[in-house]
Amino acid sequence: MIRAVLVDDEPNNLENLKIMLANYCPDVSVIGEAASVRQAIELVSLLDPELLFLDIEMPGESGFDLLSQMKSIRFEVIFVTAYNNYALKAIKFNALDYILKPIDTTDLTEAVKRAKQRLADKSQVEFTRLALQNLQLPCKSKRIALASADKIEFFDIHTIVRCLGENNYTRFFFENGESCLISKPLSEYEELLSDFDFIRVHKSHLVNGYKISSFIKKDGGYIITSDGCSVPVSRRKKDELLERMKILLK
Amino acid sequence: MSKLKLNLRPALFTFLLIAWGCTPMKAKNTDHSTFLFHCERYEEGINHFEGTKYLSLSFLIKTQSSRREQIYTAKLQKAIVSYSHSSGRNTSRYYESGDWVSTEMPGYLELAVRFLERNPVIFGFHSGQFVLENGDSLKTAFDKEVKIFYPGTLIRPPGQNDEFFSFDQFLNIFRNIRQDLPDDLKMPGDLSLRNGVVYNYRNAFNDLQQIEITDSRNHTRSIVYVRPGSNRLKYKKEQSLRVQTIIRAIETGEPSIRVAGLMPKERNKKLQYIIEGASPLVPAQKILVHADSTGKFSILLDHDFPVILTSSSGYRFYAEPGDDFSVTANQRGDSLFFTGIGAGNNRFIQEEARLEKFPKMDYHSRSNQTREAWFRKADQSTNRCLVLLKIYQNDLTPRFYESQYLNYYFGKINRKLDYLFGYVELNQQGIRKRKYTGLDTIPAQYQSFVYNREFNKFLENNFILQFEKLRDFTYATNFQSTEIPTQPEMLRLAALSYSGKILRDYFEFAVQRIDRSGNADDKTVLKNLIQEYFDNTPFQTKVLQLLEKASLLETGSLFPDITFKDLTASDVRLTQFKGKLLYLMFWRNDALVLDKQWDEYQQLIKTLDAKNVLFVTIGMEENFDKWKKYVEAMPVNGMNLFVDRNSETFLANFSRLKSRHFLLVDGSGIIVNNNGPDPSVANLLISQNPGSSGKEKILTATLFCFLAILIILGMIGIISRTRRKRKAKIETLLNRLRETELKAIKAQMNPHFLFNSLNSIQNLINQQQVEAANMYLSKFARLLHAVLQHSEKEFIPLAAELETLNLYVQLEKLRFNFDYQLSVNPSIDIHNSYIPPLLMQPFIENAILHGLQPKQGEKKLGINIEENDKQLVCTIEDNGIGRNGSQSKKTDHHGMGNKLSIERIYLLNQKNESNFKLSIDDRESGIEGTRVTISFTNNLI
Repeated sequence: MIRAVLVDDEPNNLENLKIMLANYCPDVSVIGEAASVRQAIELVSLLDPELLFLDIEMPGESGFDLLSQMKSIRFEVIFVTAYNNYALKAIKFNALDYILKPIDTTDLTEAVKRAKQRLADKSQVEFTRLALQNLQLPCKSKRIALASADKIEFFDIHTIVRCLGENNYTRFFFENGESCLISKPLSEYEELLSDFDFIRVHKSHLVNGYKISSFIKKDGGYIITSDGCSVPVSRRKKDELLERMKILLK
Repeated sequence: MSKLKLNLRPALFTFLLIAWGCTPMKAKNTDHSTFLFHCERYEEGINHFEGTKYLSLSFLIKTQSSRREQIYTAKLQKAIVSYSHSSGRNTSRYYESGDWVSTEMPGYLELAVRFLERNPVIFGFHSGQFVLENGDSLKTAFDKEVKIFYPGTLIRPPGQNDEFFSFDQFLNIFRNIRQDLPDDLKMPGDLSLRNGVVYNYRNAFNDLQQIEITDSRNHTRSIVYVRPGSNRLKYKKEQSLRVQTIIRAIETGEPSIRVAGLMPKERNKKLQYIIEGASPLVPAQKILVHADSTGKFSILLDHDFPVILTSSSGYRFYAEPGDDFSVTANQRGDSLFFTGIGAGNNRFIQEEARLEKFPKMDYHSRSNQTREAWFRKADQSTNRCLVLLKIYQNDLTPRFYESQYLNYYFGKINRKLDYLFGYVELNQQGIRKRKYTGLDTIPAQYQSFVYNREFNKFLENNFILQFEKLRDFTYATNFQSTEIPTQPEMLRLAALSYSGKILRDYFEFAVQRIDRSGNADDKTVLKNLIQEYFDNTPFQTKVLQLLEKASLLETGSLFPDITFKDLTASDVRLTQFKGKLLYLMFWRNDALVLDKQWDEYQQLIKTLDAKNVLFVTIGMEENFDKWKKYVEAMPVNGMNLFVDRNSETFLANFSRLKSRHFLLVDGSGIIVNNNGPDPSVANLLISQNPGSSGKEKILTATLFCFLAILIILGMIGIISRTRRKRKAKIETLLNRLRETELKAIKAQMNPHFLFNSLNSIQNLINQQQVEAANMYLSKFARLLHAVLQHSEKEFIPLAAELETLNLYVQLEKLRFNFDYQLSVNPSIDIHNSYIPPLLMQPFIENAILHGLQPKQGEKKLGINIEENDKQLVCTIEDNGIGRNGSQSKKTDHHGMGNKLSIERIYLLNQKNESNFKLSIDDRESGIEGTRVTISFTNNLI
């Protein structure tokens, strides 16, 4: 049995999640419910649960605030959120797990299944801890969590030179010449890295703006990245690229 | 309090229930006005996360009545109550002070209450009829609140007046900080010498004991003063031991700080400790400490300043030079025991952490009431800390005591500033925005301080800068300038903060400011201050280094005589061009100099080359060959030089240059402008720098420039006019496109579809098909998510579009059934092919509503995506009644959605010069139905 605590400011949501867990996830036992961040902190401290279902948007303090106030984190988290791009972005950025409201039964059972696997694997628990710490870092010092086939790792964003989209996969190329293949489409990372001056120069290429060494006009336009690779620039993206580079130069 | 403690100890399981209003001192267990009862279990434990103590009581409560509406209530302080009801239902809930526990369930209810506050706990029952049952049960009905005191209550809220300060009072706090210090900490005239390391405690107190220290490492002798005559015997002994350790450390090179630990929970672990240096400009340092199989470890540090050690598992120690203490943790690692030199400081830190934290400011609240309440609470909490500090005073080192004392005070001040300015965070659509709402209460002339972003960045959480803010305020309000803390005093206060962060920030700020103003006087003042206050400390060296760095390459100084390399790798020194005006462009390849900028630069060289001006580009690179390759490829003819950006000379002279930086050096080698103009404003260069050539040349050059600029301007005018026209045309197109896009979204969110879908879901609920209802509801939500998300974008990945369409079709299928097939050629990279959002949807809706719905018999909808010769071809086929059929049925087959899509495609083609093609046909003869084909070149991104 996974001992879980639910955190949501709306009693209806708490009740609903509890019923759905009872119906679809018999191996989760709800040992506590909290309606605010402060309540949750006390409750979690006391009950030491293994799993936290955490609503993000609550009046006063958000679910993220809760995590930042915990002295140590010894549980897995499944975020529960309605519609909030900003928070979802942060969650995806750290490869954390979430479900959307209204709750889809398959989403719920899958998320619980994954949490169970993570709980069974020590290294995964450690990852969650790292991810939750990273979540609270100021934007510019953040690292991104990339989940490849066998592991999840954190990378400094400024070490990423470029990303190459290959169907449902994205290959990351790093400063030190290494690369890794991640099973998520490029468009997802275009979104996640948009605040870090990454530029989509081509339908298959996303490039770190700070790693562009030069722009060559020949052959329909391409750029040379700091690792010496040439990356094609699509016709439609050329103007945008130059605009963005001007801003970066300032 | 201690008396009460003694009374309670023998009967740990006995609690005093005292009628509300009784004072604790009257509360003896022989007093008739008290009640005794036993609870089943009593346990005092430590909350392993927060380090706070809790008290746990368990009662078995049996409601007398078995009627269902029976209500039991209890008024609690902050507590967690675990229920276990006779029905088998168990749960835990958290209660705030003043909350009422209530249950409507009849039968037995076991309550385990854990009080989370160390303050006296009010626990009472509100005129409920119930039975408290245990071995010695008490059967009574209360109609009064009851107070329970438990042993170990250490801190009572101080009886001080917690009123707000007025703004004037608040200013006075700054002035009175020194007066507020306890007598034995008040410093005599010379304040400065308390800042240094322990062995620099010169003249800090009136009656110091002198110790002479010979440092065998660098053969110096120094005098150490120790404070004697304190009535604190223990402290005196400790301090002399501390001094001995320091002396030994200096003489033998042994570590000056020793921490020995025994933490069974951390056995066989590597503990990472972060050392925050109290000395400013000493960066935080990480060390790895190995705990052995019993959990023993030791930390040896050689620092001449106090440090804070924070372990990865959350422990926090404070150590001063000469400290030698040991820490023992219990099995669970949640309680620490300190002994030795420096133990007192750490005991205080542990105890302080257990005090109730003051609540985080509710930044979202704009209500004054909430804010006032928060402010009052926070201030009370600081007062509690101050009381605790006084209790512990005799166990603390003066340095620690004073820094804590000041920390609390500045905490108050910072909060007050935020409060005064009405600082709130607004939560708007999930994005936090900070805003000062109290602006109307601040006189208009101060408001600019609040809105100046640059200014505020420095101010936040940084008290030294709050001083600055305050100084500006005081100038504006005509306070006497002598009342304002002087810079030395600010430095002194900053140095006292053991975290060191504040001082670091302050110096960074000061250096930056001096850097900008370039005022040599400022620099001298700062230099003197630093020399005076931090003599012979590593800190001093570092600050001075920083300051020196800032002084290099300033206007008016001599350009350093440095050897560069040219393209042939031979050495070049710029001093050999004496007499010529040098226009130096420092640049870095990775900073991306656009071709256009090189062109501009080249243009400038051509125009002015003969005018006794030498143009030099200096590449700040790592690799000579790379640089050479790049320079040879660029269109610049001037002199190109190379400097290794990792070399000592470079770092010493140029490390503060921007990645594209212009320097102007006159004929005698003096820098006339350390931040020169860009080539595009090159005429400035001539008028500013007469150099050594004649005035005529300058005139010619200026004239030439003027003419050139006129011609260029004229040309630009012509070009921009045609551009403007084109731009205006594109603007109108864009606007129309946006409109149609919005309409397309509205078409999908058409109310008919929305409410009918909801109706279908309601139908499922009424049929008690819970699972299906759940499923469709979440599909419905996901479709809304997708539509909202995509509505902001011009193009989305094909994969996302197909998922949205799938959701849409599935919801339509809920309303009436048809066969649906989606086929995508697997060779298409759907994640990296793009399509305008919701382009196909109106045609699909048409096919369903006007083609399939009116039809009898088998209904089929097919969507097919192919790629031919870089063309994406999307086909939507139905076997419905066809266009003729629907016309005869008098439904508008070319519904609103269709029209919109056709217009959208037209506009997309105009704007993007793309080639969207649309065809709507009847299907091949013999088959009823319609086929819609949309094709476009797969290069939208």
